[in-house]
Amino acid sequence: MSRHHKRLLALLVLVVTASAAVITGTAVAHTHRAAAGTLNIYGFGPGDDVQENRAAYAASQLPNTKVNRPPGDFADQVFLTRLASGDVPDLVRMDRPRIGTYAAKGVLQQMDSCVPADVRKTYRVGALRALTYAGHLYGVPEFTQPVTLVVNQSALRAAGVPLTDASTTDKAKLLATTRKLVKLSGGNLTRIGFDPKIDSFIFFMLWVKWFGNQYNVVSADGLHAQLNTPQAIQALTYAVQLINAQGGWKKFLTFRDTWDIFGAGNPFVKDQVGFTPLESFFYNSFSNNSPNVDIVAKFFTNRRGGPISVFSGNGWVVPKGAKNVADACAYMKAVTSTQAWLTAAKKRYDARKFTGRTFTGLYTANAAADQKIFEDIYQSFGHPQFDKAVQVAVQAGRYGFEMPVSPGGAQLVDAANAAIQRVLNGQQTPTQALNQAQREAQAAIDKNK
Amino acid sequence: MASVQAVKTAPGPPGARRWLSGFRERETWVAYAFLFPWIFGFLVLTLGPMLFSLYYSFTDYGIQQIAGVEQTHTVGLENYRQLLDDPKIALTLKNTFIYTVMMVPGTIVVALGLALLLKRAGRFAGFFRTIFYLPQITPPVAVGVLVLYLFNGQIGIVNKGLSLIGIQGPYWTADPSWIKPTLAIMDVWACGGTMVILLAALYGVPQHLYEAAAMDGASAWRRFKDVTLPMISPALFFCFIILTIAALNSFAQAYTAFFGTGSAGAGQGNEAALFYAIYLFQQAFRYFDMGFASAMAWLLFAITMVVTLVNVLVSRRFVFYQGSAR
Repeated sequence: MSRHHKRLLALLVLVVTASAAVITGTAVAHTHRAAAGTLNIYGFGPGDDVQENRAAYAASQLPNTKVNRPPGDFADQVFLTRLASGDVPDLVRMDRPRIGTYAAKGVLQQMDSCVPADVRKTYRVGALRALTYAGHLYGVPEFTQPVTLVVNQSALRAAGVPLTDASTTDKAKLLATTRKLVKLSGGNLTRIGFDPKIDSFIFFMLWVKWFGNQYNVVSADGLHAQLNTPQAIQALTYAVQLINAQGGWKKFLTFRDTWDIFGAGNPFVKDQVGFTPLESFFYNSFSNNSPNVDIVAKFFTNRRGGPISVFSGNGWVVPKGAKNVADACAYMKAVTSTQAWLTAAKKRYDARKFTGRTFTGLYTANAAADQKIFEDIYQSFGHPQFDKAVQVAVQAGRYGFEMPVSPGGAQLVDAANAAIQRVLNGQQTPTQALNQAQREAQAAIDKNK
Repeated sequence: MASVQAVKTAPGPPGARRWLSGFRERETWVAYAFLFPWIFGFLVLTLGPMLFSLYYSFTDYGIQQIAGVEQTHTVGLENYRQLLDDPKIALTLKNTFIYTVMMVPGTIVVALGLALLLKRAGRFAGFFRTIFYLPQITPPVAVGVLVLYLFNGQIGIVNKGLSLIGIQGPYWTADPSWIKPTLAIMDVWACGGTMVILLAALYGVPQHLYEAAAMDGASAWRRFKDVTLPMISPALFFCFIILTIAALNSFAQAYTAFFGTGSAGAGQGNEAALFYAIYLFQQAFRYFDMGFASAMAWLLFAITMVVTLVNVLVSRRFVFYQGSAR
């Protein structure tokens, strides 16, 4: 081999070695990045003003800790990659329904000692249950978005329907009111009378609860799917009846897909819906985009007339392998504390007032914070429909529930959603579809527990 | 009488020695230096993960093992047995095959039609080539959202267009029997890449063949059937294979439109759009069953290989390679 060839060979070896060194070095640097005094958070990247002001408050409670918050929301793939590479975050914010699977798989640390009884009292019971698995608490809840009924008053007036009839209490009356409110033109829907939103899982849970007060789609310990209970079958059957009374699912979905739900031309402004259950964050959207919209908020009521609601939101958890558990525990409590929420709410209110925009409260898993925000910070901006909406949404939080933590939570949600689709598309009866979903969900729970 | 004598050449060095002897040449080193980035990428980013996934397909690898809270256990053929037990596997394969059968021929026919038109477009060919190619560079996620707008049964531009000619369009995105055709049509719309390949092949057909055929009185159809198609058959075959592989792995558009959280929400979770790759993704990153997902990946790989091999075998009867012995 000539000298020239040897040089080339040496160069090739050098390139390979350098590449390997860079890759290894980067991995090692990542693995050992979390030093004492540093808190690595994942799923809580830079966000809106409420997020940033709460983050600032929480950081101020840990003056000797450097807080890292890389951009981006939680994604399972990213989280798995970080766990696999040893770059375990100290603190993670993720959707509450995901937490059950992670907890059941033993990936999360129990937070019983971090969140003692007096601190637990701060949080809504329903939201805390969604973070409790096998008797242990795995984190603290952040937002809750209680569901309330939003009624389009203009549609009711035009159809001659009294506001009292826009209610979910009476099954037969709800069907009749829906029929009165629905509008068709040339074979197409131009207004949905009542949208039960049964194709969205949390609303399916709400309807199941509506049919039988003590029922949920999974047992309290999360180990027994309850998707084919008589209550669930009745709930789905009735919801399909409501949709069929408005032209059937294909027509219904096609029309609903045309809505600009978050825009200035939302379905209440454009008279495309009579009434429907919605999460509380919609009030914020409507108040900014269409402050004069003619809506009224009401409780979603059970068949005895009592208010019920369902929650959704995030939770804070600490994965196993986290290096700074003490700061993670302190931060998660600080960022969801009453003071953090109040600070963020006051700043949002001031900012909105300064720019002439509106503020419709924050809906959190901290009941005391919600009450104080409503009593001390919220002020009417001259639109009574939103004053009423905020009042109803704050109270609805008391009647909220969530899906209990289940080791097969994701499969259960997917099995239920697919079953609902099969029924809506006329491919199966509610009993057949929910029996199949029950088998799929229970198999997943058994496999994962 | 002149005799023909076979000239015997000396036997060359054995393969390995010949390969090694090549390294005496500077060009060999230069060639390998240029190949190095690809070889490195292939070994580290493709072959390595493939071998790992083969191993994982025989294990219970999941999030516990990823997080290091449990050891990885081998489970033998359990994950492969589960492929037979899980009814969603058959459902998703059926969905994927139906979609493939619609998408591949549709794309080739439309792309060939456009390529034939472009060949005649003269000086405007460049402009139209750009226009037709644009959908190809539209991100699949954007196409997934676009599907829901274009094909909305009530206000979508597709049904509006159909109504102009007196046709009442279906509920494309809400009716399970129309969801796969809708997705296939959107893929056909993005046929620019196939069109460019076929256009290049069309330009490669010798003009004298057409002239000879015309002199023999061949009609335009006969010239297309007996000259154009055989001459571009290698390109057609290449497109067929590539599109089939792409269709069997189809993911982004259907996922965005029918499964992605926060999508416009046309029937969230509609099983008519549940393709194999989507179910594989769910198993891996939603249910964290990496072992089963790996087995699914290898089944897809095997199916793709079989389909490709069958295509290659069948192609021997239909594909004409210039200069080949056949």
